[in-house]
Amino acid sequence: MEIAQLLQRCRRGDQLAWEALVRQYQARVYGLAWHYLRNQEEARDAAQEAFVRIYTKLASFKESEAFLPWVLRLTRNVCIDHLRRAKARPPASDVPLDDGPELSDTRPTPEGLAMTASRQRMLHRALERLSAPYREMILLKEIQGLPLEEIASMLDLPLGTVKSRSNRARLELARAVTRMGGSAS
Amino acid sequence: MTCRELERLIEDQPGAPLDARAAAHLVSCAPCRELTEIVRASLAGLDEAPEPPRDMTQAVMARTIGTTGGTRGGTACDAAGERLAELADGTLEGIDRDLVSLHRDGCDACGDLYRAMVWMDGELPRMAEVDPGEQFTAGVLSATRSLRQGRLVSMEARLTAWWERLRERPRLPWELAYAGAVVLWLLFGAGFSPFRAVPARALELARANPVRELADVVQPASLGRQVWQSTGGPVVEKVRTPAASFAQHGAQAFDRAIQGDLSGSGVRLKDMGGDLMRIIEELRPRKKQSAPGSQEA
Repeated sequence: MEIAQLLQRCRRGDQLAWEALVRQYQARVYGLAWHYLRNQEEARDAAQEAFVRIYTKLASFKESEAFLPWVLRLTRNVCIDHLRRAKARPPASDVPLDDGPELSDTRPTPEGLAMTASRQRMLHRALERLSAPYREMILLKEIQGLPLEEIASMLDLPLGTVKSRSNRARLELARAVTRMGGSAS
Repeated sequence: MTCRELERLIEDQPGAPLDARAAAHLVSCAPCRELTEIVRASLAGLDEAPEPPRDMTQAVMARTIGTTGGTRGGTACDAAGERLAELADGTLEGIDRDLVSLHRDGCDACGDLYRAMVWMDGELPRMAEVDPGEQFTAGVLSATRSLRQGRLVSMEARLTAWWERLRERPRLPWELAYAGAVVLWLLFGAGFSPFRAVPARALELARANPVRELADVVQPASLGRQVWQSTGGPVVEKVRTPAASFAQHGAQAFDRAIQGDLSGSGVRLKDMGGDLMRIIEELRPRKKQSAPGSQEA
């Protein structure tokens, strides 16, 4: 089902369309929230809050915009709010992090799933070693696949800055991965 | 040929066969003969020369620009580092692509980084979607449903409160009357109104003397004419003039009222009253005349 059609029905109050929309985007929204908050419970709360915010702001969404970047932008804002509220709590490095979420994977064999999960865990650990701006850049560009222009607008940064930061972030992540000996495998 | 000319010949074409003049010079000149043999010997061993050492580039870089090219932290690696991502994306073009590719191929560290980036490009997008669990959708739907109900309830409450406040206003009838007048003016009186022609059309219809129109329509040709003459026809003929006057005065009264001339409109209304009285007067004698006829019958 096309997203424009789905949105039109959602705006008319069609609950089935809204449910379809939630199902279609929940993995992306939860994935982004998990990468920001690195805690499954918090990510779950933030993702639900993001959907509530999406629901209340659906009327203000412009058809000319792309929907996914808009959704991810709202989700990011919710996650930032969560992080600000959590500032009073101990820093993230002191809090035991989740090993990683259950990633969506279409590989049919258990061996394939295990191998993928292992590689993903290593990447997660490598991501943990990056600074927050670099991690966010990897998250938005490489993981979520947002275009540089959209990220520049989202982070309120010049396009050139975003481009060079993205390249440096990838380089840093590649260094972390090679130190862990993961790329060749 | 002089020794100088032979040296230049060997420099320019080291592998080329010597001509007769050069050969004659070599017979008579021992130093040139020795030089020619050295050059030929070096050319003959060129194909069998070993590969330069792998770290030669690094050594040269260290001795020229003061860094160990090919190791992390070196100037060449730094220069290539940020462009490796673009090389992996395929967005690097022209001589930059060639230079970074050349460096990557000759530098183990940057080669590893490049391979890691290519590997990451395949792995990272898979991390975009994370399954939030079975109950997640139900939780979101529950939250948004209650939100929607709350919104509807609050909207109804707001509307009720607004209407109650409106009802309590003492001047509400006047305000409604004023608003109604404005609406009527907007619909029929304003220059831009789509219904501006409606009052004029109504006047035309009123001026057309509907009674006469009715007579014209209803009046039959033969049998019907007799029936018409014996019943309503004469009455219509009698009241035609006052009826036309009545319609004309009515139209004038309406015109004056629209123009805001209420006194003029009142005068025309008074005339209409006179016309009405004349119509009644015209009808009365017929009743008197018809009474004896009925007695005769």
